[in-house]
Amino acid sequence: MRLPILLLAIGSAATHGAELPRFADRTDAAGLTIVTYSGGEEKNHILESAGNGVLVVDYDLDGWQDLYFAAAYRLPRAAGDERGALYRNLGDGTFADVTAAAGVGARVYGHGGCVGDVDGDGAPDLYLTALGPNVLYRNDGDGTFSDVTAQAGVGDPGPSVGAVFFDADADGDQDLFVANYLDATWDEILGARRTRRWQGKILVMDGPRGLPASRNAFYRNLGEGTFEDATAASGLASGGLGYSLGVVSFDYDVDGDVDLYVANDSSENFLYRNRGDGTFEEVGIWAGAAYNADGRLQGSMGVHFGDYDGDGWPDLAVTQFAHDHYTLYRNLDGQAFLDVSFAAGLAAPTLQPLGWGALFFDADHDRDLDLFFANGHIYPQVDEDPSLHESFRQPNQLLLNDGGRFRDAGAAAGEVFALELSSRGAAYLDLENDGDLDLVVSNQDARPTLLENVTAPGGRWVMVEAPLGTRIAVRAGGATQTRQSSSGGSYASHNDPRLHVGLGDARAIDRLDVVWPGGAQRAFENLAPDRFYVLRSR
Amino acid sequence: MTSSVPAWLLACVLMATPPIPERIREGLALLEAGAVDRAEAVFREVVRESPRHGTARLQLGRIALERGDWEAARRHLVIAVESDPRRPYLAWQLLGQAQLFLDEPAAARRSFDEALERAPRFGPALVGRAQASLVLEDFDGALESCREAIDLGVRDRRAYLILGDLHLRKMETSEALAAYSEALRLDPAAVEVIPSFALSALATAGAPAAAQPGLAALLESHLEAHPGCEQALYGLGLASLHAGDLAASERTFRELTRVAPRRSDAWYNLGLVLSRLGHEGDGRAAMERFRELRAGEDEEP
Repeated sequence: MRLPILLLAIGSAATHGAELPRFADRTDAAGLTIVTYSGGEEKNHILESAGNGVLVVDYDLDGWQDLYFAAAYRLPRAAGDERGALYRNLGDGTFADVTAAAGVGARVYGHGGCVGDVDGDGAPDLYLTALGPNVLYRNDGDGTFSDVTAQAGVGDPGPSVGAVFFDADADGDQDLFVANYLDATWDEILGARRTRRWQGKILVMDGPRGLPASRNAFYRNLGEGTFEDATAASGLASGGLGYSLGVVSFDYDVDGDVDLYVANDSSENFLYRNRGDGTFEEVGIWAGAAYNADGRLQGSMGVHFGDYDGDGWPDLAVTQFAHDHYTLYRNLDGQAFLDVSFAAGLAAPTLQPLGWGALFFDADHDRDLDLFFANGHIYPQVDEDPSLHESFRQPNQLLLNDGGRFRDAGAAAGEVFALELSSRGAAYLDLENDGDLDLVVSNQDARPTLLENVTAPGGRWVMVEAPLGTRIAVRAGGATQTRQSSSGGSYASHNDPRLHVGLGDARAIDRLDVVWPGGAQRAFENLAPDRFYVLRSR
Repeated sequence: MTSSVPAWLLACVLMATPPIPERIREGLALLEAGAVDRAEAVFREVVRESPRHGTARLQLGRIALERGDWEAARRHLVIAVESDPRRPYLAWQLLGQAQLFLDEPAAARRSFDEALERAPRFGPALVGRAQASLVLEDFDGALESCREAIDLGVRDRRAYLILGDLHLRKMETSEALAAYSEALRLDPAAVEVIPSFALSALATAGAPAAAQPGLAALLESHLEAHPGCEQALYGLGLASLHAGDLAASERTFRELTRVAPRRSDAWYNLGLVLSRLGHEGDGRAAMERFRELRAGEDEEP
């Protein structure tokens, strides 16, 4: 396999110095008007608080990242709010709602999904998770999609939240893993009443404990647009039942195949190690990534991976329920993880909020990965009792990596971090193709927020577009940073697929090592920074 | 004394008994020397003769407090505060302590207030007031008293434990951990009462966040005196694990599972350590035990 590297013509003149990253709310200017409803205002059933994710996808292959917002709808139902929306990035900071034209207005109680290329035609397809059945939209390559769920055989009954495309068996096509939350019927949702007293104070919805957990699903891509349910055969049911929400695919042991981590609410998290033959074993507890440091269950929601300490091993950040800290699992050696939430400064600022979307990204190009968390409580009733020190709407957080320890930048990173909404999914993208990463957040029963990275021009950067499952190592300025191309992650969301690396003040990229899916390797030397590169096989 | 006692005998007895001030001095000296039982006998003799003797009542109250006999302590101290002893603020403070133990926080706070009226900078009364206010859910009042005590230089672990609790209630985690850390530094035995969350946080935080001269050293010193202290063993095991000393961690968690065989967190971490040491069979067995115990805990995040 030959791996040419093509230079795209987008550069950026920049001054280089340390700046506090800043973000500005561009939602209005961008014209993102959709309100992503999620059930009734009282949240009588837990699925009404599950909220929605956001998918970043360049659906029309014009080089600008577009946005698909998953949405459920109000209860009681109201006409006109019962669909997600696809917004086309017009390249000038604005978006146009192209849902109808693109044919992706499925009327489902949607939660999120992921982006992949199921038929290998180079055009990204959309998989939408929902109360069920889920929906697969095939990109027809002309700006429109076709609902191919039935013929593909991936209409999982759900309720599903997270999903990832990944090449489980290294056969060159993209398989699908679906994280299912619980077994609930529409009638159960409609008929639910608040019966549980939380913290002995407020009356809230039931669940997930007491409600039936669900099994996850794995669909093997058979080619020609069809899949088979290979959940049992693949070993991806070996973790048992769980209240699964977030899922991310990555190669945690860097052995050349793709593994999975599943964030489970109120049940043991799963780490599925790929045996290299497309079958998996669940090793979460042995690897130290299923519980927190005390062997205590957490209410995990979202998950993302990234090598925050620069040791070459991808680590995990997992968002959690309120009154519990989010968890940073440091990958020690590709075998074992250690909960370093306190040592890394992650625990203290995350003890109070309730987290969903989680993103590792370099906000300020200082050559390390920062963290973004989308926060919001599940019980609107917390606002009724000040003694709980909680609020339904909560500020999102940007935690800056300072030598392996994180500190909450708070509103110093922009007034948007003082804004209180009940956020759920989040994704990063380079909105204007200017080389820095912006953020988009889905908010429950509200419009999304689009956060433009307006950090003063600082460190240099590079972005690499590569096929799903590619690993790269970028050596510049004496440091080596690694990235992996993956699907899904965060919470029911999908990020800009381009691999972004902050380079600090490095004047050149000394070396770019690429490990292609399947193991082929290639190295490139002396590349210019502040550029987009595209890796393609031919 | 009855009229049937011959006058000569009574005279002999009275002549043989030293005057009360002398007996009080004797009692205090005995206390100083650690002869608590003998001191108590002396003070009891004094109150038999002079039931409202303030100093004797105060010392009897103090002895009862140390023995955990809260009712007796209150009985003595109520008389002590009314009898104008030499140090009335001390009697009020001790009475407040007894009332706290008797689950009478409102009365306790009033007693601490009385003490502070007489000695506004009396640290133990400030700490007691903070404690009572905490129980009464007057968190602002508790914080104010606590901070005042600490500002006065009170080196009482309770002040820092209360401060830690107060910060934790407000979700001010960093401040809470700093306070707990100081409590441990002042008295490693505080490990037995700090919340397990805080212990875990301190043990996994690593340097420099852990207390100086180092949490492990503090816990080891505590374990020398109290070899079976579960909390100290757990904290030490975690600290060793996070410092990368797997052998020490295995040793400590094994000891903990022996001392407290139903602690699921001990089995979990033992399983992790064994797994990392390559003892797969033992590791799996430990994790199975962990899962069995956890299944019975019905924990919800």
